[in-house]
Amino acid sequence: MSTPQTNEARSPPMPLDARELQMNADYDWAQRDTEVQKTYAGRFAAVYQSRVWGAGRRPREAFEAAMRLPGCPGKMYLAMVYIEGVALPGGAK
Amino acid sequence: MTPGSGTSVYALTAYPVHGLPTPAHRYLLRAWWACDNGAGGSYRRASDLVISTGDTLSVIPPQIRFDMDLLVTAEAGWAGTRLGWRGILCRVGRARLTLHDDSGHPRDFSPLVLLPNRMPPDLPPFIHLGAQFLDEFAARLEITPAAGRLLVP
Repeated sequence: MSTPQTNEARSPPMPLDARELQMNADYDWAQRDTEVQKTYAGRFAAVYQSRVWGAGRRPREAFEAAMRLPGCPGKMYLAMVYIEGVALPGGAK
Repeated sequence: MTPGSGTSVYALTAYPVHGLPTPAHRYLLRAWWACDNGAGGSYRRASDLVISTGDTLSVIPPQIRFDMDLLVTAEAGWAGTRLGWRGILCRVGRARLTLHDDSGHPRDFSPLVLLPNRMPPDLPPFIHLGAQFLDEFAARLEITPAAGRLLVP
């Protein structure tokens, strides 16, 4: 997957782009999904398109686990969410 | 931008804390951090802040700073300064983040941050938003048991 356009030189700050909107949705999904919270409590989860691609005690471990899977979109596309073990309201039961 | 012209309003998420015999919440704020893209530029990555006004300065856990490649610059006047946070030695710097208000309008901030070399074992690895952020940006917090918001003029 190609390197996404960065916001480095943008001024004023830009609204969320397509990659960031997906990351935002994945972040929300992981915080609200009961099964994710139960399965990965106390770990970081690397998430893309409502799927956990990797998990670990450190973000690096979760990234590395995700990158080993075929089809992984790349680090810049993976939301990295610390899983507390309690789902926020509004997700899958 | 409400209330009041020119004030940005950022919604906080009340996150239930489990394992306590009484209801309690942490208050989280979605922030977009400038990260090194490995090619001489940067990109933005989401990582929630936890509101932590009991801490004087904001704090970035080392596993988030290093594993997510957060860009942190040295702060003039703090060179060589090392501070303690919960008994842990810290450097001082500035990170870059973007917040999006309730209407999606983005705004950049560059808060002063403590950079501990480890985290206390009993503390979830969130980035902490300390009281100094409120001082520096003349911001205020409104918190109820169910929700909250950060207001920045």
